[in-house]
Amino acid sequence: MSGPSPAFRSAVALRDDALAGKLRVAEIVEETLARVARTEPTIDAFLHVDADGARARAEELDRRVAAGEASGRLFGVPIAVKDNICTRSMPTTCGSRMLEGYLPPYDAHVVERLLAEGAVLIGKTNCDEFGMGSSTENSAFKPTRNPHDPTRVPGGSSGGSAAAVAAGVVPLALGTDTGGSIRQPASLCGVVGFKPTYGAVSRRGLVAFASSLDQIGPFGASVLDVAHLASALAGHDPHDSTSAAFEPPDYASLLSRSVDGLRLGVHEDFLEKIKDAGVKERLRAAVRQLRDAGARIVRLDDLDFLTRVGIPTYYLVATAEASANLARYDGMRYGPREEAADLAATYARTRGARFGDEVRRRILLGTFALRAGHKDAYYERACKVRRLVQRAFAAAFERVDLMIGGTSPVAAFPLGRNVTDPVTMYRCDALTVPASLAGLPAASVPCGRTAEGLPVGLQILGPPRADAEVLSCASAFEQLSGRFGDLAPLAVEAAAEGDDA
Amino acid sequence: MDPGSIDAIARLARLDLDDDAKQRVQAELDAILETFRTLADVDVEGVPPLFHVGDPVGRPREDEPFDGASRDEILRNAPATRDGCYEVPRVLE
Amino acid sequence: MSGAAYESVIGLEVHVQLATRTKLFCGCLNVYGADANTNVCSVCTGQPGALPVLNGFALELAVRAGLALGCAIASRTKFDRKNYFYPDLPKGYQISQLERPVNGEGSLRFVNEAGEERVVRIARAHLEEDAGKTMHPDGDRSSLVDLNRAGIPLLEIVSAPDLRTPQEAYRYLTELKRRLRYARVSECDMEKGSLRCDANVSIRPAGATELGTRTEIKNLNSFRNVERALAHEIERQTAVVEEGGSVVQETRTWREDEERTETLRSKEEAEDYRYFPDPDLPEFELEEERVDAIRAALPEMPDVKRARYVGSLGIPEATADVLTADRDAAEWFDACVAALPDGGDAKGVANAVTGVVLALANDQGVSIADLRLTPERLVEVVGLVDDGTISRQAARKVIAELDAGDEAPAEVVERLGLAQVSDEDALGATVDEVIAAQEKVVEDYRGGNENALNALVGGVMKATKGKANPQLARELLIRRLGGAGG
Repeated sequence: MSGPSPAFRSAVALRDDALAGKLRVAEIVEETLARVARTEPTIDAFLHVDADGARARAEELDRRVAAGEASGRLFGVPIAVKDNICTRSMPTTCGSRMLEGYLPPYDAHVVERLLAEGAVLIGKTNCDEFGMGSSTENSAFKPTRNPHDPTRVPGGSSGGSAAAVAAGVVPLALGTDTGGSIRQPASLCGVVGFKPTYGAVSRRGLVAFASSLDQIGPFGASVLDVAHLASALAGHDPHDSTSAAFEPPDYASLLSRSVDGLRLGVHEDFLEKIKDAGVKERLRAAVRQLRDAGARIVRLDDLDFLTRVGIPTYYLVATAEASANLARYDGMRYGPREEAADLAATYARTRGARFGDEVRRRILLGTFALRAGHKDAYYERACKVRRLVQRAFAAAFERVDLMIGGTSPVAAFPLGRNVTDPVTMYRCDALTVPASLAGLPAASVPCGRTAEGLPVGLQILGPPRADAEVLSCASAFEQLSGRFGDLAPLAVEAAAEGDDA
Repeated sequence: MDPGSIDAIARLARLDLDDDAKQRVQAELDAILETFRTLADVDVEGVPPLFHVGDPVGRPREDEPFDGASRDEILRNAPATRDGCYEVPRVLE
Repeated sequence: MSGAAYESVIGLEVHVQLATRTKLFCGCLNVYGADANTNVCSVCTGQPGALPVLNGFALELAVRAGLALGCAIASRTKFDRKNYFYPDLPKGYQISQLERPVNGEGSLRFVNEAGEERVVRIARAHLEEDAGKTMHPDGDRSSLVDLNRAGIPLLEIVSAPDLRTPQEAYRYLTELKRRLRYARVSECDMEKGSLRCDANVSIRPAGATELGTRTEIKNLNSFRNVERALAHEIERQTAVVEEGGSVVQETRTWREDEERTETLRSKEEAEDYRYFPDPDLPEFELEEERVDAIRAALPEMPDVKRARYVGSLGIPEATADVLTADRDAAEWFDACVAALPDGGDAKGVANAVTGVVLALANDQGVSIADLRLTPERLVEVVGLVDDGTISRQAARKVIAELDAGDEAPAEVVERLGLAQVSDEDALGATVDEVIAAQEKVVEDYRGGNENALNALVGGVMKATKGKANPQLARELLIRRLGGAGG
């Protein structure tokens, strides 16, 4: 191999080398594809790998370099895209048999942005069906495995993207977060994940699960890489009515090295009350590090409301919206159709047979919550409580700049453990759904490992539109902890063999 | 949730469930709804529901055409087409 | 008939397609009659991940319609999802408005079949997206779906149950259509589906205040069919009640071929639509200044126009009705009045517009506004008739010629030699010849037969090939022959 190996190098380094002509994009792509071939048998992060498309794209980008026309914040950077984000060039299945073979007639807004910034799309990553799940075991096609321990889940629903970054396959990946689907797998896989403020990134082309909660965001091995991708994704899109009317700053240029004087709020539900001792210990250590570095840790005692109501509020709102969002999958315009005696039977059979258990469960729950006679007690009430959640956060952010705590109450759990018990599975989201309900920006950064060697993530939340502040604090913590990504053993081993660990 | 409601909901949602699935789902939904009881205790008197967390007021677009998709691109994913139309099981009028 | 024992209560739900360039939530064209599925995109075919963006002009047209119907305009309006499954509904829900429609209560004033003024309350008028079109090729196991229509903006105008007879329903619809066309909100063409109507009807003992059980009638494809279907349904309900039965709440369809309504679906099968606010669409503000500006730009409404024509222009009511039936005609006439000199003949112009110009447009199948003939030229032509230069008969020819070319009226008159002979000396000789040639008729006239004079005038007209001024010819004849009966 000529030049340094692209695997495990930061997106920024790859981009700079590619732009400078020190590294051909074709080499980056070949190395990435080789890495895919090596890790997929163990990890199963991808539903689709577009080797031909990536090679063609590399040629095109290398021609631009040769012509002196190369530019782009993500030039030559290989990126994996969660399979619930529409791509013209690759099937988009959302991990569902309902969309088997579906080839979207358009690119998602974020995909247009990636291409405009010179990125190379490597493939589509596995996820829980339509983003519904916390372990990626609800994919209709296969489970993805945690690169740190392939007997365990990578978290979900964006498990494929988190695992692909953790396994050193790609430096960056796109995920989507409705109730924690970026942050929780980032935490379980030892990578950085970021959910932007609701509306900061266009949802056009993100296959809706719960429209008032869904956000697209980046995964990366370092906060700097994540900040670059987050900046590239964010900005107003006139084709998404919920896209915010503000132009976000360049997050990467605003990353700080200091937390001195920063007021960081902590609530016991997000830390002391976490039952898993290993997880709690890592989080306590992280808080100490931040305090020692000059941050003012402020106890927020009156926020237990958030975790008490978070799960039911989230699941009622999300499933109600989902019951309508998933009504379009009826086997009439796209996706396979299950033939039956008549129209009504065709609908019911197609939907009954093609949706997985969790999706059906949530559609039923959402249909129930909106049903005449139940709507007031369930959906409407949840929306009112959601207002109270927003107010509680607003009050807290008058006293603190940011909030910190755990991302997930547990580290990566073994495959199959929780998948048959929805209530237990839903509890995995207890610490991530409150921010989703209020549309807040939130990051998860690695903060060490449990005794079993499983990564733990520190969650950092900010008020609406404080995306730069959240990333800046994450970056400062990353410096303090001395970790730049916490890549998997598989990755570390491979890196040691490489030329440029 | 009684079995009658499960049937009604499944019918509303156009989801075929066999008897096994129905029983399982009913138990699961009951368990889920049980954990949702905490919401009933929250005082929401006078609290307006929150439906959107983004900008509360939208901006309409101009009445200008923009590129649609070609018929082929749209229809290529359809399970059945005829004469440029989606072909669907007979709709009774 | 025991009709007098019962009174019927009718409410109408009217859907009109708004006259925008593009659809309600996407940039596809809002046009009629294109090849199947050629005006479609990711949004209006409900592709996964596609998002709606509201067409601001559709919102403006909805407000315009609301103002034309005297509705209270919402200061903030929002959209809800109405959930149901149907192959012509691509998303499995329709974006509609439940809680905060653009337009709240309003009213529509019209004159009913008995000549009484009626005011019918409008309950609401809200925006929603149209569904696609489902076709059922005969004898086929499958149906075909075309989504060109899916997403076209609709305004649903719901009346209060204030209508009492099928004839009133017909009049209400006629007036509603006229107002919406005046406001340029919609073409309101039922044949093209840009106006559709469902009717709710119940009966109750005359004088009762409680409402009876209602049925809803669908598949009404003309105002006449609305009237007919309602009459049949009222008859059916009356028969049911008189036989001791009770009316079942249900949706019925009008079978035009068989002149009857029949059950489409019962109430038990009615859907639970599970409305909830569309999370893809925030609320939209209708600022007072903006609403005021839309109001200021509204044209004079037909009832006001009609009163003005009759009151200050002295135009007969029947003529005023014809002129105001269509905004283009009324505005064309208004332009004539503007071009009329002081003391000009507004009535003559009105007659010319209704009697000649509208027929001309009709023959050509165009709007009066698209004629080559201009209001100014028509006024000139009417002036030529009034000063005796040409006859009314000749005026028709002149008008047709004006519409075919670019000549001035005087040039046409000259070219076709249509000027009347109004010169007494020139006409006098002809009159003398006719008297000499028709002794018998002259005798009849002198004998007291008034009609004989008409025959003599006809003789003069014939001799001059229609160019004689008939008024002058008559005068000259009377002068020469003395009064009738000598």
